[in-house]
Amino acid sequence: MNVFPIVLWIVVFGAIWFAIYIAAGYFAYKTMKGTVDDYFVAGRNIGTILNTLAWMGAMFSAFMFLGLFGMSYKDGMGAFVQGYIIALMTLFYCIAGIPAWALGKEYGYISPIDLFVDRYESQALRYWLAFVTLCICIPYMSVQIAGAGYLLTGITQGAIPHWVGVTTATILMGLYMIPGGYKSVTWVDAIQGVLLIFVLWFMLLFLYLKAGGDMAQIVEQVKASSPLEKMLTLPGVEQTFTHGLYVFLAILAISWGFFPQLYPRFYAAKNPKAIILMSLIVGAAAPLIFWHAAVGGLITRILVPGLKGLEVDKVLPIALGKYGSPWIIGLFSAGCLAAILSTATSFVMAVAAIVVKDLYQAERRKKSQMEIIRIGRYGVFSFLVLSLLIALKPPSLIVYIVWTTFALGIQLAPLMFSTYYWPRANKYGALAGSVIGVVIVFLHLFLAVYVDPAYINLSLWGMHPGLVAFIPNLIVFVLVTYLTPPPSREIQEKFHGFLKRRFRFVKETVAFKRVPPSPSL
Amino acid sequence: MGILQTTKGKVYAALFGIVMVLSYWPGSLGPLIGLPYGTYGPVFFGWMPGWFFYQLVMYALFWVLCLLFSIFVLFPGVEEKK
Repeated sequence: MNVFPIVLWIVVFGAIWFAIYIAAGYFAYKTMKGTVDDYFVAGRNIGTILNTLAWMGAMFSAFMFLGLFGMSYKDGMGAFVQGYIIALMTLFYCIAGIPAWALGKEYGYISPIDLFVDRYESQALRYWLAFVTLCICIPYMSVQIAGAGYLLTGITQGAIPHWVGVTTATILMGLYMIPGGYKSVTWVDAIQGVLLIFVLWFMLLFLYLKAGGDMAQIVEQVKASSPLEKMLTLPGVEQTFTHGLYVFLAILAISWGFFPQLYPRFYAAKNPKAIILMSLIVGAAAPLIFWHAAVGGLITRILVPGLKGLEVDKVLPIALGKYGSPWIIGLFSAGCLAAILSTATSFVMAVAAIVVKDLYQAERRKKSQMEIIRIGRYGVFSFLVLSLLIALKPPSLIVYIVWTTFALGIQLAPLMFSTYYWPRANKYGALAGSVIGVVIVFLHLFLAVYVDPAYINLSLWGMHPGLVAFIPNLIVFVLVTYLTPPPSREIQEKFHGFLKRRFRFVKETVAFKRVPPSPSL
Repeated sequence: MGILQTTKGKVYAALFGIVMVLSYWPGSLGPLIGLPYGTYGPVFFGWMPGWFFYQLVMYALFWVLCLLFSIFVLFPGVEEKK
């Protein structure tokens, strides 16, 4: 197969989109006012549409093009459940995002740890949360960047080497992230969000028409060949979509509202309405975006039957290679790269904010705004280089660590939720619960690496390790909290008193009408 | 925070609970109590399996509940400070 036209189209589409990203990044940089808020949380002035599109870009990774299509190809329409949980996620975005926005604006927080340390009055929690958060973010962003290399190498059959793919992706991210910070990231993520959704729909429509353009006929063909008729039912051909997966995904959706890399998105919102609208728009769009998970598998089963093993995850590029022209593969690569870069940049910015604000500045107070921004730029640069080094030759262990990030994220949910909704919660409970949860997750990681890889997904009674760790985490958190003194009155007033007044979380004002903000605020 | 102390809060919480239980029925809760997983059921639009159509409807219902809950119960005073 002559891969030269494919390489050419990848370069053409890459150059066009990279130019657009850098222009958007430069525009954001020129509009910066030179404050720390500007660099790390985009001046807390991002409106609904921009925030929504940027969120979509950050949220949807290359998994949308590769893993999810593969899951749908292998098991059938049940893969749609991945999108279905977005409904739950939207609710928890409001529940976590709006108080985080209000507290961030009032007290100037730029990272989630900033907020939790203040709420729980504990420096130990600062270092503990920084450790857990870095464990979540660094492997995830490295894998995203490595994915760019694997994608380009795979599509061009090695004509674009892995190191060229990852180095180009890292340099590009650095070009718009380092000068413009979160403002640039938001603008570029928004453009990438639009691109990836457009490419996803375009690819689906293209393959649908290639398969005959008649959904009823496609379904009839699938039903006619055993065991493919199970693609139309639950739990799928390989019994993947069981109640265990549904329950885990529901819990993941709840905890996703508390993941650290999303906090800058909450802080950056112009007002709480932007967060509510963002959640609701994403909730409304989710079935349309995840439509490919429902029908893409059926369509590609007709077009490229018989794929097995690792080829299943590459079903989309394989189908496009068979039925599409080189320019379509080039467009697909641009969409996939957009998904990869937009996800990676959110993680890099979250990590930079945590290290600069929570670790560096916590130790050396009284720095000027420009100095903090300068250190922030060094931080972004350093983490990009670190990610690049890991991505150039990812250790085999990294796949396990990335799987662990979901289980780790859930362990922070009780602590984060209580920050807003449980005035009695204290630092002892928060530390004890999260330590127990994280230790149990790491124990599963150890078992997966040294005993049986199945432990990464499966633990006691067929439950996910994240859930097995979450239950003792929650119990210990509540027990220790009640056995130790409550937080000070000042802290309860500073956080819960403020939220009560700000949002009128009180009986007499909860009504089917808008109430004006309190004059005292 | 007092959300569940109000009648409207209780009604919304109950509705969320009911919709969640019902929406997780085909792949989760039904099979958990020994009922079969989602089957073909009636076919909508000439091709869409019944369980899938059911989940889409439940998704829509849940989303509308989120909308109403966000606007009227959880954050009734979300206007920006003047």
